[in-house]
Amino acid sequence: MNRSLTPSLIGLAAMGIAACQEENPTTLDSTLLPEEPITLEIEIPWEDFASELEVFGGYGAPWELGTGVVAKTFAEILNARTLVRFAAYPKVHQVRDTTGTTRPDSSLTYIGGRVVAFFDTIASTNSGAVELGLGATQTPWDNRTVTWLTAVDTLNDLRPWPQPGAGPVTSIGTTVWDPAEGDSAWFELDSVQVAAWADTADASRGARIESLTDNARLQVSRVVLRLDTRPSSNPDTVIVLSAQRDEISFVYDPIPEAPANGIRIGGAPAWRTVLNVKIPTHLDGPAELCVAVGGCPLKLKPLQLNYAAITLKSERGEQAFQPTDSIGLDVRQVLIRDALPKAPLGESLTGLLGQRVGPDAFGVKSGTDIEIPITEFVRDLLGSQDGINPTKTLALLSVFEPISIAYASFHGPGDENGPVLRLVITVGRAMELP
Amino acid sequence: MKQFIRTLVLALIITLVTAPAGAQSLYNAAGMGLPVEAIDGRARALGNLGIGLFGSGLLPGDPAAAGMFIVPTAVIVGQPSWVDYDHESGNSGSIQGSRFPLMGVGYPAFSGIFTLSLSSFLDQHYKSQRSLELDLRGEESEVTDLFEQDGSIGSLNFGYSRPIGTSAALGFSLGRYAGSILRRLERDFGTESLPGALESYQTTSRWTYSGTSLTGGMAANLGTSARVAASVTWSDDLGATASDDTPGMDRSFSLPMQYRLGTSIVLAPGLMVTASVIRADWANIERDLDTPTTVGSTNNIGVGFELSRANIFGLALPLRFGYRSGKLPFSLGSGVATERIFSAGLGLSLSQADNIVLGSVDAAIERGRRSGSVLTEEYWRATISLRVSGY
Repeated sequence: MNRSLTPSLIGLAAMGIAACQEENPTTLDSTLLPEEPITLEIEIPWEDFASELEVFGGYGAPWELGTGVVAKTFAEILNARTLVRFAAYPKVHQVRDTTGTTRPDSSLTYIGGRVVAFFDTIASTNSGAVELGLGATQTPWDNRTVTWLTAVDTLNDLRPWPQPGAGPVTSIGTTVWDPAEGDSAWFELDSVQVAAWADTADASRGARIESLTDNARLQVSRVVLRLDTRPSSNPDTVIVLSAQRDEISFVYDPIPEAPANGIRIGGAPAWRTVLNVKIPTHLDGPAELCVAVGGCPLKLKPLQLNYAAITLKSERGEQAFQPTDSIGLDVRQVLIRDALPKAPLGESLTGLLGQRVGPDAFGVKSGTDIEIPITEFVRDLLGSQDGINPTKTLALLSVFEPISIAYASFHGPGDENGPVLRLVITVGRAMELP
Repeated sequence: MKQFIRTLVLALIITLVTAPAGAQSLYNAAGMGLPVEAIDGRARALGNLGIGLFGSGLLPGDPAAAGMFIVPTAVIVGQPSWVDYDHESGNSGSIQGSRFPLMGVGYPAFSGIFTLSLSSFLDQHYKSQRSLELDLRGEESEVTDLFEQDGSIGSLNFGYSRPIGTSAALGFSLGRYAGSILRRLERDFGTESLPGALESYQTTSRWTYSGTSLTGGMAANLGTSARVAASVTWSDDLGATASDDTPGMDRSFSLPMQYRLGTSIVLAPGLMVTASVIRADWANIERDLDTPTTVGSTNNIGVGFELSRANIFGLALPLRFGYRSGKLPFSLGSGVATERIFSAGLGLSLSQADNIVLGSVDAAIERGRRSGSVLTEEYWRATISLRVSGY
């Protein structure tokens, strides 16, 4: 019996397995579904979900951007200059000598060079040629703390520039950048200047790039020092070597004032807007909802929430700091509001890239509704609060800080343009058996 | 005995591994679902409704038949099916699934046989969906409601049968309905899972079923050429208790009395014919249903014949053919749906000692058609049952 039973059992199992590739019956009769759930979009005004708006500035510093800005009376007020220090020059280079043999040459003679500046053509505001000036700084400056007025602002060491705007400088030369001809411009250097910047122990060394043309704001994406070099092993040849920039920052004036009642995000140093939010746990309307669920208030459950977003209305900010590129907006929870402006923040609620907003929203399309989704945050809050409605503090900020000299501006609370909490909720009727 | 237990355990393991109960019909969506009869491969092949077959059997609908056993016996039934459907809306397609409608054991004691079986009763698994347009975030968006009902009702039966004299038997079994149903509705907004996308909405409701049934029956052999058997099943209301987090209400459903009658007659050596009927009036359940449903009475009839002289390699290989027809208790649309099935099958006695079958496999293949006012299904259904006995 053993011999017969075992194959039979296996056969039974095989048949079961063969048919276990289930294809569930899906009816085509929509009347066999429970009643339709109701999906509603609700806008909760500022006063019903938020309070205590504050704008804080000073997060990060321009040097963290790794880029520069130059401007002269842009929008009639903004002046900006870029400061650069270059790394140590190459000491050895492989050179082919007069016999045709390539060997290391450590006796390099620098006979000149040029500073090449590359510009971000999208982030720069000019469409025509801009004249630029290059100067060598004469005053020691600290890349991390340098501002328009101060060369050094470290602990117990505050030293202003002799001239506001990173001056004075020894003028090296001028050049013209025309975006129609390329994305770079260069300044020729003589051997004396090249030799002066070779001393990396000199805290006053550095190049200052400025705009000599009014009403332009350029973003300097990269600066490189090209060195003309005469090797000892082949003095008839000139080799071009590069010294990368060691430090880069920019100084600008004026520093914008915090808005009286608006929302500001971005800038360098960066601005953050902080607000308290209190997510409603019960809904008293709209009437359509109350009728559908058989009366209000309706206790809002996490799984009924499909979408939650803080909706801001963009506005035109100061022209001088108008964005010229997209800005990624982020929302994070402020863990200890009392510790502001240095309060720790929670994880991003919008993801790695944040909510991208194009520059037009702060210009020709000002007044655009910008939604910053916080669905998971609100769901977690509804799930954890168990009927209690705690106040949470959120910070609106840029995805990276600082992100650019420009910042995003939005209408603050107090009128019809103020922020609202937009919810999409779905409420189903009780599902009964047939 | 050790061999019997080992085989039984192996069969149960295989069952549990391979057999999540699968849905086999769109009629699952009608009312309380589609009845799933706990019948073995032999009865299926003969078009029999599970009563009145010659020999011993472990069928919940024929409790007296167990009284013919004289040794411990176990049976397990597997049943895959392949269904093509055609809806009046013009949509058609196919589904497939498997289930194990019956597992049971019988053990002799106190001059009779005690039986324990797990049998299927109603299958309620189906899905449905609808699409609609909503104005969301200033745009017209298409959303989809996806609904899934995952449920079934089975019965755990404990019975006792004993022979009366040498040619009759009485039996009864006490059944406990068990099972659950999960109804899940999801609204999918069709957006990607990115920041800014709408999260889908989900709601679920769950009920557990309970109820009691009592089945009593008798079987009598009229000489060596005929058997007559009858049984009746009474059920109290089927209760559906909502889980704590289910907003829906507790419910109860009236279940009908089920009357069965069957007979087998040996017309000639090696030729047996069988006929059986079952009647159950489901009318009372109509008032328990909130959803308008077409409810009918099931008056099913089945006939068949068995050619038992065939053999292969010295092993008996009875050939069986059958036909059955009837009505479904719950239908989609306005009319009562009907079902008719042609069947064929064979049995293979794997081991036999002193006229006692120690191991056998019965296989059946059915070609059936369920048709109602809005839906027609045609299907192939295979049934394989394995029966093992031992001392």
